[in-house]
Amino acid sequence: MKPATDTSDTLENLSELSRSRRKRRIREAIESYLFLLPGTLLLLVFNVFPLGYAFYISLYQWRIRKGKFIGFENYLRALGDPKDVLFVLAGLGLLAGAWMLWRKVSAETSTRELLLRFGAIVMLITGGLALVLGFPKMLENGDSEIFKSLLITFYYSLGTVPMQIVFSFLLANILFRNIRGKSTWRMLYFLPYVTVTVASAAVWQSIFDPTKGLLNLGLLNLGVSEPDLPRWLFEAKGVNLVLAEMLGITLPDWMGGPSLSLVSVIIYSIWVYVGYNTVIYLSGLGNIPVALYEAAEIDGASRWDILRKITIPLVSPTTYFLVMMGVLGTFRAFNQIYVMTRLAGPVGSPQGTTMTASMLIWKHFWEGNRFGYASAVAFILTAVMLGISWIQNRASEGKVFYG
Amino acid sequence: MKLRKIFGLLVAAAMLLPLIAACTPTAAPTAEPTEPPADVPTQETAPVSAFEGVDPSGQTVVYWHQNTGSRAELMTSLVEDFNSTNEWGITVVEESQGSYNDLYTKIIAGIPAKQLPDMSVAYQNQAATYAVQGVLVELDPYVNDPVWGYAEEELADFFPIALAADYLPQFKGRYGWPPYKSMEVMYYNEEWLKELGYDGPPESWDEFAEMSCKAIEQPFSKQAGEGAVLGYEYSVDASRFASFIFSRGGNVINEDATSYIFNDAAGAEALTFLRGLVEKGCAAQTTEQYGDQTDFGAGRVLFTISSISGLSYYGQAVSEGANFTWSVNPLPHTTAEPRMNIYGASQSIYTSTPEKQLASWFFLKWMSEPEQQAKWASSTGYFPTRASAAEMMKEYMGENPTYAKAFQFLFYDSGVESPVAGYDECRAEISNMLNAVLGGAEVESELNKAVEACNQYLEEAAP
Repeated sequence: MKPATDTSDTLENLSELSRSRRKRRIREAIESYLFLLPGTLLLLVFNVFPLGYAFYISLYQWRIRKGKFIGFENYLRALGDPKDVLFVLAGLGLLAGAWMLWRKVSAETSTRELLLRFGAIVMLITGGLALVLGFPKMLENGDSEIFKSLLITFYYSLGTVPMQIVFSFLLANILFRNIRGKSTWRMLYFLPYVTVTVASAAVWQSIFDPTKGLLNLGLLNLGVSEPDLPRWLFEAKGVNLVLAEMLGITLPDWMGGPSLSLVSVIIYSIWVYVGYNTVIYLSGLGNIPVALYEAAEIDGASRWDILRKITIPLVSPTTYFLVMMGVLGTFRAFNQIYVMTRLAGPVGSPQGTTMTASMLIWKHFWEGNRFGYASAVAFILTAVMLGISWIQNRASEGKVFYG
Repeated sequence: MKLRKIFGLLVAAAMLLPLIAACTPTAAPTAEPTEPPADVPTQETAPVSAFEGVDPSGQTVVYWHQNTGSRAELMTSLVEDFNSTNEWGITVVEESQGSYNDLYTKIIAGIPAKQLPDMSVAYQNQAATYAVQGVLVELDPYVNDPVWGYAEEELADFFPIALAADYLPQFKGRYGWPPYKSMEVMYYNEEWLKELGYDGPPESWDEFAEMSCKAIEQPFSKQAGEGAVLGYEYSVDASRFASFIFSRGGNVINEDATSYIFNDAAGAEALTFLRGLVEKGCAAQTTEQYGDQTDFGAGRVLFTISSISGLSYYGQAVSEGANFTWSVNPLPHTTAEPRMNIYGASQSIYTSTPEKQLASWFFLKWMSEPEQQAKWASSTGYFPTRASAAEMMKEYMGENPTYAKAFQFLFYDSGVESPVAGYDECRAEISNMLNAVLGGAEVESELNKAVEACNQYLEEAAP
């Protein structure tokens, strides 16, 4: 048996050890927070504060300077009646819930699965109903310009991102091989991305010029008659209508699609970002172990099989990243649209067919001096972007292979 | 002795008499003269300034303008001249801010940030927007000040149109001072018109259409370079639309500036007419910046409508292009006499200290002196706003007959675009309307839509 003093000494030693450990932990924590402080301060000053201030502005009738407090009136002016907004939000929430539940169901037992599937169906129907009830009214009572701009942004996104991904993936695959002048080609494709947007957009604007542009001069030389030459950035007509007219077919207006002007901007955007995406894809391709390709070849896999079964799945994180960034980028795009379409008239010209969401915010802010309303629209756009990112995130679950 | 004493007393009395008379109250005259004698000047009290006690000496004031290139150089030299000659030791710091739009955007951004110059160039509607925000100084007290303002005969030297333009109906006051003016005119190719069989420019819109359409069938013999031939090349612009409706007797806004009215018959006629020309292929939109100017210079366009301030640029385009005889005229019109769109930015003063405001006023006043106006106008193509300045430009006008011809248009009847807050926003709506109609949309509904949007801006922006 050890003497009592020994035990108390040990206890004392232990508690001292624990105290010193606690002290060390506190000191380490303080040190960590001190290291975090500059970054956090920068974030607070340059990100959180402007965001908070923009939200503050959106709650006021702010025309150049602060006016009276109007709460969420700017938001309601944009989205319509609060009841309709609530219906749409509830509808979207229920649809999202139903989708998530349905995906989760496969992991459950059969009875629970049945119940959950039933619940998902109920949510789907209720959500759908809420949307059907709320959305048309929202369109009717809200600011039609916002919904139109969201549709145009959607067109812009849809026209730009998939093409960028396809072209850059193909280019990356070609440049990944040992071709002659590989680094020169890589640099050439990357050049549009590093060129100042305003400068390259101005050059493309002159290429698209209906009277003196290179594109129409080329078409003239190909035998297209002068009256039939497309007006590119000045053409408000839907691209489908323009194409149908060229083929002598008449289409109804609703089938018009994005204007030829927007399509011209889309072409430019593809040109700019293909090089950047290619470089990212090249690094993705470099991360695929060569052994996988060698094994596949030994097993007799064709080039198509290798592409389909190895390359595409293993670059899926890169694809996911590029799609996500591309979509968000198209929602924030401004410079190229502004520069390329400014000769066609005021912002969003011709006839508002290039009025993407970011252009609309600019229009209200700088052309209309409606600072409060523009801030509210910016927050609505942010919410839409968050929603899209969430959907992309969920949709990619299980499809992006991280190795 | 006695006689000597009496004489001494009489002399003393004679010497004291005026003193006694001076101390005695003056007796009222028996009969007041009805008029002072003609050769005696009437006594005037010294004029008292409302700015008495305000000393602008040694002030430094910042002036924002939109001039670039040679115009900016001229402005710099004028400012240097003022800085070295003004008796108060005032220093003006001039800063070019780019275009009119850039300047407007910077002022708008500067209002909440409280970073404004002491004075700047501003169109009347822009001045109204600034005045709504309470950052502009009303200039009437300065203009009418007996010491630092203008005497009646000096004010009479200014052309009435120039003085009237800066009166803002929403404030019932003056917020700008006009050192120069401009106007919309029709540029025409005189030689081509002769080739087409016409003696002179069109006076009516029907003639304009006829000549424009004939031009595309019979291109100009001296045409330089390749490109589409047009009767009229237009740029989508609210001022151009305003010129079209003024020439038809219409107006952009009503007299008391409370409602836009361009959706009347004049507006509809103007749009229908222009669309007709476009549909026939006789007119088309310019697709390059200043494309109408270069195409006119190349002899590919018979008519363009633009500001007179572009006169020298047109001259350059023609001499570098097809080199033909050309001139300017008022726009064709349905009114008995031409009705012009006369406009031009003025100079405004921002609220600061009384000393800086007065120093700024001295600079604006100096800039409006005939010598400076004549110098500015003869170098830029703008018009002076004073008869005495125009008088000084006789030699210049003799050497520049097109300018001299256009100068006479200042005295025709004119319309006022819209000196109200929110007109800048409305201008964008008008441009959208023009784009839509010329793209095939229905005239009446687009006009009504634009007027509705403009009235909403008018209401939102009102003081």
